[in-house]
Amino acid sequence: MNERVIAMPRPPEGERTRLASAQDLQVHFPRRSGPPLRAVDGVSFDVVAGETFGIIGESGSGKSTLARALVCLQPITGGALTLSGRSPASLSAASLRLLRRDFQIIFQDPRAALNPRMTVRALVAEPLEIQSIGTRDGRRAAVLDLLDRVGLGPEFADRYPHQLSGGQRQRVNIARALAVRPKLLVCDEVVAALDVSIQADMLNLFKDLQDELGLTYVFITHDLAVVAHVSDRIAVMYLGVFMELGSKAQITERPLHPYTRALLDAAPQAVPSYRRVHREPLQGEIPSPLAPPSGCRFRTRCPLAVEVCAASVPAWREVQPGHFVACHRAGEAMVSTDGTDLRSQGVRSAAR
Amino acid sequence: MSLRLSLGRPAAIRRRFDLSSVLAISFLAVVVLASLLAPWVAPYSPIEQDYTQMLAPPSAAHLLGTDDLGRDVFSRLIHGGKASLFGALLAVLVGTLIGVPVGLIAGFRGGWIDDVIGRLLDTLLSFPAIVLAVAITGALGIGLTNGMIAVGVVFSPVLARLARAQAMVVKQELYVDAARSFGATNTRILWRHVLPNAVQPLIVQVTLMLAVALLAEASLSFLGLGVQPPWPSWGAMLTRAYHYMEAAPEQMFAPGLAILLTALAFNALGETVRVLLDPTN
Repeated sequence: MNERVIAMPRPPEGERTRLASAQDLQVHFPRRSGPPLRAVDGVSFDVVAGETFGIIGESGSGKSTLARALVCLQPITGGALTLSGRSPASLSAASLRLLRRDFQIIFQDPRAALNPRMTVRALVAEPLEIQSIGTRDGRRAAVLDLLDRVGLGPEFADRYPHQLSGGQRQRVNIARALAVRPKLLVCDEVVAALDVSIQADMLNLFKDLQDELGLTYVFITHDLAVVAHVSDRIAVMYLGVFMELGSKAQITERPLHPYTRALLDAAPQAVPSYRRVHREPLQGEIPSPLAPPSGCRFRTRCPLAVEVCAASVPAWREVQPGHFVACHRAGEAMVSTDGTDLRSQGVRSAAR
Repeated sequence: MSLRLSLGRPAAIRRRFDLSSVLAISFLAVVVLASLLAPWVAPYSPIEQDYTQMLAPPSAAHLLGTDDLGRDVFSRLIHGGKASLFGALLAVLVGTLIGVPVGLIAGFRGGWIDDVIGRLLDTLLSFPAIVLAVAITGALGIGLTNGMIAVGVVFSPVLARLARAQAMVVKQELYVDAARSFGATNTRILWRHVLPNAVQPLIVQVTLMLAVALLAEASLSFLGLGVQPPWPSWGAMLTRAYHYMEAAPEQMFAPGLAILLTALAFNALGETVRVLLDPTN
């Protein structure tokens, strides 16, 4: 598979190589009547080569739609998406096919992502065939090599997906994605469908693959423990927009947005460095993206919401280098009544 | 443990080839072989008339008796099988080759292509089947081959609608998105992912249609649009026997049972093929 390097030289390795870049990216789904469903409603971020970019959000926050948009499975309706410095919408079919090699996705449901009528061998060989990588014999060897890389022996090659466990199926999906030697791998809730006992194995596999192959990940999950474990930077998504974005330390130790704090409160044991003073669990459900609340979208569930939150959309501002937040009351204490909450006071002073 | 092991594999095989499929395949093999080897297997000529032996009941000389012109029914049954099987297969083949690709493309592409194809299918389906078949046969010219092509054209919208519905479901599957994310073309997705996963109900429908085609051949022959006298087919024989229902009712049994059993065998065969093609069984 060396010819690939000749065909598409990689950009020079560097700390700040932007693999993917979203500027005010929007994905709206038109409906027969009424306003469109705004699944993703203007998010901006860069994914830098070699990092793991975590996106956390509840069900219905639009994170899966964003994942599909990042690998050109979902056309964007507004803003700009740049992959390897190019806009996928402007590419010819052949160029887009070549670009797709570099941007692969692993889906949440490992069973549904595998054609039930194909053997593991055929499934893993398919990306190679589509991209015309290698000769027939070369592909046969490459399939076994890929299976080995994800921890599956050659005896799995002739099995069908229904004969595999959930974890094994997800390994097959990973092998398929790796077959085309991607630069960026979008992992959409990749461990959510797996038993807890297998989740750790799978996360370690992702880590090993990143070290071996120099992969960049966009890791999308609703599980704070997972995202905090794997990510270098974390974005917090709510109802189609980002609420907060920062390094792992910034998000988990010095969260500014009430929503981020509520998420951290919901899973405290995952982040021991975050010492909770009082818990403020989120109430209610995420509102419908068909009719998002005015102003700040989180205000209907926010313990700090005041009039201004309903009146105006909070700006997406950089409060510290690399730490972005969209909140009128960012960093203010959650329910601090007597001012003894030193953590949040510290945050408040840091934010200003 | 050893008991389970010893029962394991035969049980799996038995599930795939149960009694009905073994019987069906054996029966069809006999029918096909007899039809192909008719000149050597049949005891008499199928068209030689013997006016001393009209509408004779079964006897040692004529196993299934003779028809209204004194022709040996058993010999006509063997010779007629060729025309009937050929006609049924031809009709279903034509129906499949027209209907399945049209339906798959309509369901997969959607949009205005689906609208146009859908209206055309509705138009075809709005005709009574036999009237449409007669009209097409009239246009193509009389004869078994043209008649069964006409039946195939009549079948095609039914298969197209089924294929369209299946394609609409399968194209939503996540593995289609996965293939697309690797850069797969629509042609590849249709051929490798949509068709294999849409094929099961199509196989069932096709085998049901084989049975219907046998009867359609009988209808066309009844109207004089199918096999031309004196050559036999099961449908033609049944039609002829019908005229003598009161004088010699047993005349209807041989072709009638041949059509019935072959139709049943086709259905059982279809079920077997469906099971064999499904790796999850």
